[in-house]
Order: sequence, then C-alpha cells, then structure tokens
Amino acid sequence: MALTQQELNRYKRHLMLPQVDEAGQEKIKNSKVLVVGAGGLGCPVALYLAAAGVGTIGLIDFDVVDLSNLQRQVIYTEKDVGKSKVRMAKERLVQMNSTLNVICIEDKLDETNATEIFEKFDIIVDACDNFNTRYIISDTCVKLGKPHIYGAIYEFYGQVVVLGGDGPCLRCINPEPPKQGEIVEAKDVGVFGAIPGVIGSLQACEVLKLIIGCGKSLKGRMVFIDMLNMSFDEVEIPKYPKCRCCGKGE
Amino acid sequence: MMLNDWPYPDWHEGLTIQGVIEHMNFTWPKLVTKVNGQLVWPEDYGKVVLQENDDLKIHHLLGGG
Repeated sequence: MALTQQELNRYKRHLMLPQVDEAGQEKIKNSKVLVVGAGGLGCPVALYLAAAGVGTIGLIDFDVVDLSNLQRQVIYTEKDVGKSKVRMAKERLVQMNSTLNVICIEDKLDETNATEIFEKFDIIVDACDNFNTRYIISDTCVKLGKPHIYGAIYEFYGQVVVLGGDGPCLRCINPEPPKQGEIVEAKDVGVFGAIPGVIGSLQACEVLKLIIGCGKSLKGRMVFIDMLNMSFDEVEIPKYPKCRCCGKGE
Repeated sequence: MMLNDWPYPDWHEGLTIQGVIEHMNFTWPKLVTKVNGQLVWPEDYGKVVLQENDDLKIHHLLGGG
C-alpha cells in the first residue's frame, strides 16, 4: 500500500534518509510485527514501532499494570494501574498514531498457541521476562522461518541479538532453558529504570532495519551492554551444527 | 590471561574455561563465553585449554524483560 500525502509529511524525517526513503517507509507501513510481552522492553519497542509507522503491531501479554511497573514501563500512566497491559498500550499507541492496526492478545504465550499467533506476523520481538517463553519463541520462529529479535535485561545490564530466520537460534547459544528455581523470577530482581528503554530501542532499530533491509544487523551477533560501567561487548553467534532445533542434532 | 578485562592471577597449564567458571564461582546457570573473540559452546567449556595470553570473556545469558 502506497503512502498518503499525510504520511509523506508525517514521516518526512525518515524519507530524508536514503537508507529509508519512500520505498522503505512503505515497507514499514505494510509490515506486521508481534511484540511478546508488554513490560519493560515491550513498551519502548511498541512505542518506537508505532511512531515509525509499522502498519500492524501485535501485543501479547496476560498481565495487568502494577504501580511498580511505572518506574520503567513508560507507555502506562497511574490511571492504568490494575488494567490490562495490552489494552492500555493499544490506547496509547493509537493515540500516537491513529492509522495503526494494533492487535491485542490478552493471553499467555505457550506451546499450544505460539504457531497460530506467530503465523500472522512477519517479525517476532522477544520482550518477555522468562526463559521458558523465550525458548518457545525461539523454537516457533525456527519452525516458521521468522526473525526473532531477542532483547533481555537484568539490573544494569542488557543484551540484544537477532536470531531465527536462517540464522542461529537460542538453542545455539545454550541448548536448554534453566531449570525451575535456577534463576530468580523477574519480579524479584531490581532493574535500573532506563535500561529497558535502551535495550527496547535497540530491538526496535533492528526490527526497522530488517524491514527496510539496510545496514548491518545483529543477526547472529550478540551485543552486551553494561550500563553501570557504560561498556559494550559483542560476540558472533554462529549456528551450532549439532543444534537440536535449527541444526542436525546430536 | 585476561578474564573480563582484568588479569586472571590463577592461570596455569591445562586450565580450562570450566576451571575458571568453578574457581571464580560463576553460579549463573546460563553463560555466554568467548575466547579471543570467538564464541565457545557450553559443551566445550571443559575441553578448551586456555593459554597464558588468552582473552576470556564470560557473560550471563539474560532472560529478564
């Protein structure tokens, strides 16, 4: 679908970029992106995708807004406390950009619904808060050949990598999720408020670059950010030949 | 040998990544490690012998959001 005159005006600062231009903005408009999790990471991801004009944004989360979320989940307000995260997020996104199609899925992602949900989208953003869901996302993205934009945070630290598609998957990094009790639950861990903003914004950047097809992506390249000491590191993540999900297995 | 940008004082012949993880008491269950910029898969932690001038980085694999 071509851009309207209003959209040409709205996105003119994108259109000035030769890497984006009108063709890229049309691709953004016609894309469908699912954000799994409407928490710390999901909020900045959804806001930047909406502002950029991603035509269809899916949001999946079963949770309600808690007062303690407002320290970092920047899409919500005090009036939203106790209400559905995805519904409140949709309200804000549509207020910001009324042309968007925002699909709310008030549910928990699991093995039984992941494939059916993911099939409707081009790109899957992993903004959830636990390893079990992350492995479900990874396995489903491999199965459907969809890109998996992985972002994660802890205290002052964050990391981003693009998995899935024809690249490596989460099991190439570590074959199995941690066992029950090995990792402290997200709700019991401190998070420096701006960290999800940084990591979520990087995830949104990777989504938009992937849609447009510009620049060097984080496909198979994991970036580690230590905000306490403001240091950065990265490592190439090759496909693991013996990966039981995307490789040949043992 | 360097560990996460700091000199590692207990390098010795035959030291493996697994040896460093145990000695430094890395208890985080999922790690991402690289030696001289190259990823090392978890199944190789006990096999990769570190040299005196190696640069080892050990990161936690994070899952929070």
